[in-house]
Amino acid sequence: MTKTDLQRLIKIEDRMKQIFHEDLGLTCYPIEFDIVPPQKMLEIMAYNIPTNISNWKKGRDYEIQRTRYDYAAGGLPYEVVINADPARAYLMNSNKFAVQCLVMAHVYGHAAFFTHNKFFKKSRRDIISTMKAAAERFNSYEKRFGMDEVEKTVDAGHALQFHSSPFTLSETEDEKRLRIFEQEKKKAHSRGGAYEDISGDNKVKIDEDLELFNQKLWRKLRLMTPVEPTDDILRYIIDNSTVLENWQRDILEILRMEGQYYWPIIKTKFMNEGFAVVVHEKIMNQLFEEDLLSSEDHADFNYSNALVKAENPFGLNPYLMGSAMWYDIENRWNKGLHGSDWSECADAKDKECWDTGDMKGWSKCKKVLKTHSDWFFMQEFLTPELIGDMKIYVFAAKDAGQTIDYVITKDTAKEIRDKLLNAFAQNTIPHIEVVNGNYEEKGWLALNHGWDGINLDEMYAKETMHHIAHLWGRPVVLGTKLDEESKDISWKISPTGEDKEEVSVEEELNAQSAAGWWRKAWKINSPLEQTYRRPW
Amino acid sequence: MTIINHPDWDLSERGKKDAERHRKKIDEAIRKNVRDVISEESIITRKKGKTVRVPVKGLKDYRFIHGKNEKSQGKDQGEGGGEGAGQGQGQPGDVIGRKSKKAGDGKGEGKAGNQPGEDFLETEVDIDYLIEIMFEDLGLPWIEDKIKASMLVPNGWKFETISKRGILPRIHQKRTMLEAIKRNELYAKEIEDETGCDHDDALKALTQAKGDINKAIKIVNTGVIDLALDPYVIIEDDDMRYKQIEQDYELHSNAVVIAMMDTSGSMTTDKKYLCRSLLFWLNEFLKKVYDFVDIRFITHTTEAKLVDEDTFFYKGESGGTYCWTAIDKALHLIDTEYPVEEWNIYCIYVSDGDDFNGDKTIKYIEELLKRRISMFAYTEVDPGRDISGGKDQKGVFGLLWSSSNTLIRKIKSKWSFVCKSEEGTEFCKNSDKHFLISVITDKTHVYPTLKHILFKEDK
Repeated sequence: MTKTDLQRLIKIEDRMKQIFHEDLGLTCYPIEFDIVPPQKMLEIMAYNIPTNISNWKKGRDYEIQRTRYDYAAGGLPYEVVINADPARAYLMNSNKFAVQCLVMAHVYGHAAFFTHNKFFKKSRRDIISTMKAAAERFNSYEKRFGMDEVEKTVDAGHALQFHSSPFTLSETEDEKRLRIFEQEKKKAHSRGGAYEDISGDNKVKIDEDLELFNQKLWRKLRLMTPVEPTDDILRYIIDNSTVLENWQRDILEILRMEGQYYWPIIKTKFMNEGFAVVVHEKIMNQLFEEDLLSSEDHADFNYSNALVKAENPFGLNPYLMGSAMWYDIENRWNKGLHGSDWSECADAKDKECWDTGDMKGWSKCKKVLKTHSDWFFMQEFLTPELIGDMKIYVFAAKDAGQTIDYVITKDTAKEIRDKLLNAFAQNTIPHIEVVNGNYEEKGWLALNHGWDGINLDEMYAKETMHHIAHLWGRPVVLGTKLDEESKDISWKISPTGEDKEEVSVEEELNAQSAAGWWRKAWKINSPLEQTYRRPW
Repeated sequence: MTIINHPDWDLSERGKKDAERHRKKIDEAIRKNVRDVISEESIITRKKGKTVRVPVKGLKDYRFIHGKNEKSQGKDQGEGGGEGAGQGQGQPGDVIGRKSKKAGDGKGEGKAGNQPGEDFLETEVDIDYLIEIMFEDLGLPWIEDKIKASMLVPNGWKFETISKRGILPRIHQKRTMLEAIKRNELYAKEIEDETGCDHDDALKALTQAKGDINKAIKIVNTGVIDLALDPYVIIEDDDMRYKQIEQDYELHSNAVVIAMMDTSGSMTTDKKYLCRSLLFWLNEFLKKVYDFVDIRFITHTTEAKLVDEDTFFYKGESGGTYCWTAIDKALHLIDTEYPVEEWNIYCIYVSDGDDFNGDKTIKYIEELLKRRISMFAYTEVDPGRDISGGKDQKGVFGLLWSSSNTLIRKIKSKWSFVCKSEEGTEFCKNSDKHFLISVITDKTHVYPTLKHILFKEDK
């Protein structure tokens, strides 16, 4: 980038900021732009966070990015922004001038999203320096304990890092035990309390019973690990594994934190990208109107913008679909195309030219920006009409003799909507809980998959269990289901390695599943239930 | 606008370094999955080229993910799993894409369905590299010194010839010095002849003139010789001699591999594939490791033919089966082109053992073994043969052969073998006769069989 270009870019950025604050009424953390050569840009894209740790997977992703770049020969407006304070964004120095502007305006959109969306409220804004320090530490671990050992731990950490959200309560096991004890006690006592007015003899009996119950409950709770099923698998393993070294705990803590950093980004992909597109289009249009950019720039912008918003016949482009939904919201709330008045209106002609002149579209968008995640966003704003406008279809694979054909189905917009919402639910991380850290009294780790109509991928699950077994040092059991009617099944994976007492076995436990065990364990024989089931 | 160059992003090419780590992982995975890689059909049927695509297991980001509900298929859509959403122009019923089905892998081995193909990462690997990592420490056994050694085998480098040109590190000091002394003496003689001084003075004058003969003559004539000077040899560019580096060869005994294959009608696609798989890797290995080994190819039905490599690997035939014809052809080849006194002969024969005239074949094998060839290896392919069976009267290892009445059974009752069970099949060896037999019932047996044939002798 030449010096004059840079001067011009700085001037335009000033105006951009004005438009962002005044015309769009948005705010964000300050943004720092870093201009980098393509090779660096590709590295940043592969590493997600520029200072991220070294790992073979990052190398693989880098190769993928590089190949893609080589084949596309530039063209694509690469953009990376890191959710930090100040936010960090990267501009690739080989981009055309208009593309730099597009990327900057786009980054402003993301920054506003990061700043205001409630799912990012707990994000760590010091991620860059934290990861830098971590990468240095991990490097020293590699020198001391060997690359293979470190990579094994890192791979295992990566496998589990999305199983904890930044909103998970940070309670220790003891605090949790106490909380549950109080809760259960209260429940039992309030049940007992209803009988307080019966005869004195009985009251003594009840008190005695309750005391006994308290003792039993506490004894039971003391033996329970975890006290209550937890979906924060890494947290539980870090705190309770007997084979982990301190350096391994450090690695897992960092990866868990990294997972929590990604968590809201994954949850809001369509919203976030869509909003950034809307912001960059609004800002860029304003800039063109003010003649701050040339007609040549306009052509470059249109070309790149079209690439960003390209239709994908085999998938949904979050930039296109997200932005279309935001524009739809703006339009509907501008014209008042919502609420009971509009939906109950039977006159097609009225509906056709409905306009209340509310002009509340953009403020509605800003409200939605704060409160929604992709799932809620789709649920609320993906209307069947919009699906038709966006030309979204569902296709299915059909066996056509020699080939497999992908054919568009006859689904109606409503059916497509249901399928999409279903798919959005499926794309989430399966709900898996640690239910028992001392399964079969042998110190095995029992996990349970909260089956909700969608199966786990068996091969992936078993490979992941190998990772867990490595961290746990003892066999791991996972309970799940294969379909609605079938019984619970369990898989068992044992850790491998010479120093472990057991060899690797993959077997299906015929006994009761882990989940079943847990439910049974919780059934404390309450004295209350026997005492008060009297026939009076 | 804040434009900052952040120092926390260093210039070292981290991506490339980590990409190297990834490559190492791929190598490891290939090593671990040699058995699967080697039986990969696409490698053998590939178009000519040096690289092959190899599926690698275990290089994915494994985490808990949702899969397909196999049993609930057909409930709502019919094509469970093959569904997706897309965007763009298109009416219901339009075909938006087409994918050709992968070449079906025949029967679908017992374990199929467990691990779908898409869970493998495909990577491009050089075929020589594959051979390197798969056939470490393997080689042709029982090589003997024959009378006429004519196979040149490269054996490192040597310095033998000496030339006037070369590079400084390879200077031949002794020869250079010798040349210099020779020339100095010649010059001295010339000075003596010109001026009539004595030999010592001539040398001194030459040293004083720093090797310039005309100057030296002048010095002698003017009589300003420095008599205190100790004469030394002056080296000129022309005296320089350099060592020349060249390939060193060793003379080895000749070796020829005669690969024989049954292409008769009873050889189904599965069997042929196992056959070719085995011989393909053998051929590739020999070509890479033993540059000068002759490889000859024989196919047979009811008569045997000498064919070239291409025909051998890529063309099929059908007809009846006379195994003895192949052995006969090999015998003929040995008699006419490869006398046993001069050649180490390795005969490798693959068939399904379904022979019309087994007794005759046994006689021919006997004849072949009598020639004292280096090895006769017979491998029977029979995909799906039940290898769990009873013991025969002789002992523990009769089980493989008792199930069907094939050639290998006849061989087994004729000669005695030392057998070992491995990888779900059996390998038998008769070290006196240099006779190896084995059975391949599954594609995972190809690699152990190769190891069985190309074993290293204990010395």
